[in-house]
Amino acid sequence: MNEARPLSIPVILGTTRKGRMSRHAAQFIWEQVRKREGVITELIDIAELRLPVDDAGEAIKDPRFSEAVERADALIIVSPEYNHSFPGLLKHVLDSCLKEYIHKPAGIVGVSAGIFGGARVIEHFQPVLRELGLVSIFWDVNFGSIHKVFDQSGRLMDDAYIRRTDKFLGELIWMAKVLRYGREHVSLQ
Amino acid sequence: MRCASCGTPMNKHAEKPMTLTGDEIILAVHTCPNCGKVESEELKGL
Repeated sequence: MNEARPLSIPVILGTTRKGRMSRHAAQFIWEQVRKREGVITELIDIAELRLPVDDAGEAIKDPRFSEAVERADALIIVSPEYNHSFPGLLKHVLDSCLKEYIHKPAGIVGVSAGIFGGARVIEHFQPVLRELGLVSIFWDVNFGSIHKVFDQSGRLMDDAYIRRTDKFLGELIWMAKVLRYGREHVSLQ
Repeated sequence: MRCASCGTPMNKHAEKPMTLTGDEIILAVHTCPNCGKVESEELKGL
């Protein structure tokens, strides 16, 4: 493995809704990733991509998003739960790439106003991740009752999320290292 | 296939099937072990 190259793990903020509390969750996760040695990260806000909605798929690929995902060794997707699933525009963005995802792990951070912490959106993501060639991990971060976890300024009010996120990142980074080795050194034939 | 960025031979690690039988492969994916660049071969257009 090329140990000199740091792992790249971008955090995708998966909603464009005004007043989104998921932004605080994404910012928090991004800050936790930044603390990890040997890992570089960036926060990708899908609201800033402004993909067209009169077409879909790889035809509307955004070069910055594509390059960030191609560089990535793992993805963290922060998604609120809207009507028991993920935001349509998040799917629209994810559908714009394919080869960039294959054999890379993805961790999902669910966000909800209610107590379930995005558990249903995380479940809904599984077949989508699989079809994109991403590899799901069995740790998630569930931000339930999000208005009680962060205040309006984004200050974390429940320190338990630091420990939970640490476990989640430990698993994701292990998978990122193993799958990078596989992509780069283990041939299909 | 060699990496377009650094010239290193790339590792082919995936073929994506289109059908339930796996008889049609739509994409083969290669990754550069030196710089991580990803290249794909489109084997059947959608």
